[in-house]
Amino acid sequence: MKDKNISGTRYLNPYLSGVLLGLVVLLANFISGRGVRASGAIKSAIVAGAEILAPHHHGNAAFYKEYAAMHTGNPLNSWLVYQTIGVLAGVFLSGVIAGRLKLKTEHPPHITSRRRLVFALMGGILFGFGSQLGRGCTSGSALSGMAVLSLGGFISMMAIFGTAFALAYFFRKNWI
Amino acid sequence: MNLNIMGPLAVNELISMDTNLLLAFFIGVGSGFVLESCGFSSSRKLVGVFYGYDTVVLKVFFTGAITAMLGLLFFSLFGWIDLNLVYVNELFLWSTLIGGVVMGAGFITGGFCPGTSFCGAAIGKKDAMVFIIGLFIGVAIFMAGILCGRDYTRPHS
Repeated sequence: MKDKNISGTRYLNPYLSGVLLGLVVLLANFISGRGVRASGAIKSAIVAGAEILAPHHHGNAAFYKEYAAMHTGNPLNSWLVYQTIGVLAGVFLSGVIAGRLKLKTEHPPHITSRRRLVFALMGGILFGFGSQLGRGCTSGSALSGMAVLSLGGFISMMAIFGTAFALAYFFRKNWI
Repeated sequence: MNLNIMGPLAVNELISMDTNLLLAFFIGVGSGFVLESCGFSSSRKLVGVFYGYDTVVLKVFFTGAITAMLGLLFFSLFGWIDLNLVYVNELFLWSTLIGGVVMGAGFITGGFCPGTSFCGAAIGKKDAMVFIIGLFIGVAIFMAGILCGRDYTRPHS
């Protein structure tokens, strides 16, 4: 199956995309001293929510202490949150230009939308939990970690892709 | 000509906090635009690498990592960035390994990772939106566990 057959649109050359993505990570490090991240934005949102719902409850938890030390002020007023809003804007812009803006559930023809959504929810729960355990997801730990030659970045990358590859056989009916 | 500009700009206080946040937005726009352009908003393209019908993930991912790696190296050699001030992810071996395994299972089950689910959601993919709901639940479960006194993130350092 060729790239363009899946959605009927054309995509940017992957190597060119990779170079551009690398330059963005380089720029992020040059400006802020950190690479790009994604899962941390979810954490910021939940911490902000927890502060509204239970302002004193979390005072003693090491997790929050560390978080508060790294992010002074309002959790939603952090670098990561601005970056994430930017990501959504950038994606939207590309989607508009390429004509890929469409509300739909993407799945292979032989499975139902409902099945796809149930598995998407389960996958999200696993990935969310794992990203906290692994201290960062594919963006912050694997991609940005490898860029600064962090051993954790390489281990993270191998563990994520290795496991997905090892389990691919059992989930093949969902995808091919 | 020596302008004496040394990165990271924000850490060296060469730019203000507000400028830093504004630039964060544009860095986000750049990464979001690139990720969508190469097809990371489609779970079927992402997962394709595990079934051999689409290798865009590996190409983009490794080209990106190598480009950033070499860029940082040259920036450092040219004296444009102080790598001692750049955040390097600390290694927590077991939590990284086990976390990675759980994330890998989430990847093949859900078809996205957090960054790519933002991509899918922003162009209207319902499966990506549901994946993000799952992310919130997963992160919340972990944080609830932490609140109950178990800090899983520090088994090894």
